[in-house]
Amino acid sequence: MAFRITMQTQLAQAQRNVQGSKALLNAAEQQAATQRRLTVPSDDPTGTAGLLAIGRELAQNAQYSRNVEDGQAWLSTVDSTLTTVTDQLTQLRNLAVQAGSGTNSAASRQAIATQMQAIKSNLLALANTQYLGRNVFAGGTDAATAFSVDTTTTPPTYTYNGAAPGAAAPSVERRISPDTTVRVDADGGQVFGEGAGSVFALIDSITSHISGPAPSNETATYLAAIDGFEATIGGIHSTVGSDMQQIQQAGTALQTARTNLVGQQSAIQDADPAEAILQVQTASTAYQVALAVTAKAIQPTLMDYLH
Amino acid sequence: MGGTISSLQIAYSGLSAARLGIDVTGDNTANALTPGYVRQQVSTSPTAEPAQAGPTPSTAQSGSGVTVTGIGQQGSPLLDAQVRLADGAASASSARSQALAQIEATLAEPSATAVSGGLQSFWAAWQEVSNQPGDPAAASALIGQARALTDQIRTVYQGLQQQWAATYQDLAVGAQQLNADATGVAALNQSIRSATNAGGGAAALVVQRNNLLDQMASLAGVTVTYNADSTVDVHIGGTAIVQSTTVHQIAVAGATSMDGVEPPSDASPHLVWADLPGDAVASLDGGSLGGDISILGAQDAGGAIATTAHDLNTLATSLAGQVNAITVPAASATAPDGTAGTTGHAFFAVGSATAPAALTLQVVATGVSDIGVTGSGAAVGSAADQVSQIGAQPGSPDAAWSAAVVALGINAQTASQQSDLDGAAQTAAVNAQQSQESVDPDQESVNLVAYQQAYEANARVLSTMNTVLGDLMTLLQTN
Repeated sequence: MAFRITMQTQLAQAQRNVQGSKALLNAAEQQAATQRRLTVPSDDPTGTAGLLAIGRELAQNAQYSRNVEDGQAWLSTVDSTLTTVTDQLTQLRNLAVQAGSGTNSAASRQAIATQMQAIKSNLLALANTQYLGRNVFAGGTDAATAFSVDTTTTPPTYTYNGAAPGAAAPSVERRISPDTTVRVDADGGQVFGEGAGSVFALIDSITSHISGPAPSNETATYLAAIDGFEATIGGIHSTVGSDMQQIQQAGTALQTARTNLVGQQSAIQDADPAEAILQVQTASTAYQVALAVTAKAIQPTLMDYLH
Repeated sequence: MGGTISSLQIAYSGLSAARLGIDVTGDNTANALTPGYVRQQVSTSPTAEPAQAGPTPSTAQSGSGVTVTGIGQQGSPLLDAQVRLADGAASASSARSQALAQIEATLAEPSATAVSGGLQSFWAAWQEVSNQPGDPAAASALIGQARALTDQIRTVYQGLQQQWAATYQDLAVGAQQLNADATGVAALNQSIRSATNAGGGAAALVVQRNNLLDQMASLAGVTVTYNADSTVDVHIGGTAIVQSTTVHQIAVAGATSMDGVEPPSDASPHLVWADLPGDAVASLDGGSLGGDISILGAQDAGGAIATTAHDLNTLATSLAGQVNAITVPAASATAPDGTAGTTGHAFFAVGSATAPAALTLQVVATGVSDIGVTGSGAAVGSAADQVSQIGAQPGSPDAAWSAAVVALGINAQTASQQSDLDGAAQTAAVNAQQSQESVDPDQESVNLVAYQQAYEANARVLSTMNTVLGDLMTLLQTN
């Protein structure tokens, strides 16, 4: 059906054309100005699903990265503490060897005992090392200190507060992925021993033995006990080292993942600047053409030629 | 040859027909921009030659001039009906599309400041608490995030309530408008019938009636049938709202607030016949009223606003349920003075008999001493870590909300496409109607020239007859 063209249909058509070009221009300008291709879910529902998932993963990624930093701080605290503990044990061993020498006078044995007590105090302080107010050797408990001393008894009693006697302490974990956690503390009960079996009780028994009037030479027994602690601590220390390595790698992996996620997010929601500007140019040209054509088309009527 | 007087009559009939033509052209031009005006055209036919008297017709006879048979409107009921049909569909889909776009704007997804972003920050805050279980600062940050999240949910829900109320208002006003239009159509039916019966023209009244009919079509997608007595009947879904001069008014029934359409009460707003309350207006799916009703419907009837509100309520309930399920059995952190942590601390409270979940969701935890962070027999902070992982689990509030947002996006996209299609169909229908019915100045100019020339030619005939008669008279006087 050939339509009859009247002034009104022509004007309506011209208005629609101008309006359409203007709407396209507006959309193109909006996209170029915001640099966003997706502003509401209906722009791209599938992309929205992706964006929401990516947003969630990015938030998790940021949190896991903070966890990694926190975990690294915990582990380096544990690591440096264990290094100092090993140094103290080496000194203790040297003193024990010295005490075993038969040439010691009572006064020098007393001096050695005093030095050993000083080392015990150091070790006790090290065992109660804290990071941001939390004990690094008390496991995941709320205990005020990892080890407490009761000096009212003779010899003093040492209690490990990290766990029930004989039980393993719950570990402090940091989450580095949805299904992976890394241990960031060390079990104080294993490192320092518990109760009568602790390194503190050992030092007490050595000092009380060598402070006696004519002590027998128990050097071999003591050295074996000290070596036992050193070996245990060495093992734990290497575990801490490998945990540090793991958390370090996790941190790197999180950074890589973050870069990828941001890239994916941008690919879904961001407009390509070059394309956006080109679209604005095209739409602007189309709009101007529509205006020019309309101005030309609607001006003359037959009236202009009838005189 | 007829008598001289009849020759003058012929010339006069031509003159008056040409002058009527100029009048109609003038009327057309004057109403060129009047909405709903249908261009008119003079139709003429030759006047039959007078019957010959006498037994033997001798001379050949000319006709007796021109007769105006009528002033015809160039309207087409078919094109009008197509425009009304397209109007009804376009109004409905445009209302739906706009409503969905508004819901999208209310949700403001996807963004870090929307509910999805609030959930992400909330889970992250739990992770911080897991790292620093006894730290009051981490606990305060968590409670702050949780309050921000409940505020976001409440604000979005209130936005939906406002939209529902505004749409309902629109529906009520539209229904009144429809009743007023129906009354107007019935009154015009009466006037047009009287005018037609009296033999007069009713073009102006028909234009008025057409405008009302167009408005009714746009409101409720009505169909129009033309009766023999120049009146029209107007139907919605097969039942007459206007029958010749009788009007059946409509009224709005059903829930009057968004919470009223939440299942199980689900009495969606709908139209009923005012004289037969309880009798719903059947199959009203066209027009802006049809669009409004489908938007206002209950969630199980696919109402867009109630569906999103339902999603928000589900989010609030499942958020509170899943978080509390972990925090209630978990113990809070040991106080700095060594007091052991206690169990039984709900983090969220939700639900009441009268208000929807999204509005009642609130944070009941107040600080580090009443946030359950430690699972039984496990390390301090383990329960908090478990809570922080809820968001990543299948069946999480986040996953359900994402699905809801995506479903809304798909609906809005489909509605927008449908609206574009209906808009294009409406444009095409209006274009076809206008090309048939609208006035074109060029054509009127041509007609004007033609009628002017016809007038001049007939005047010429008249003056010729005058001269001929004058000659004859002079001849008689001189003899």
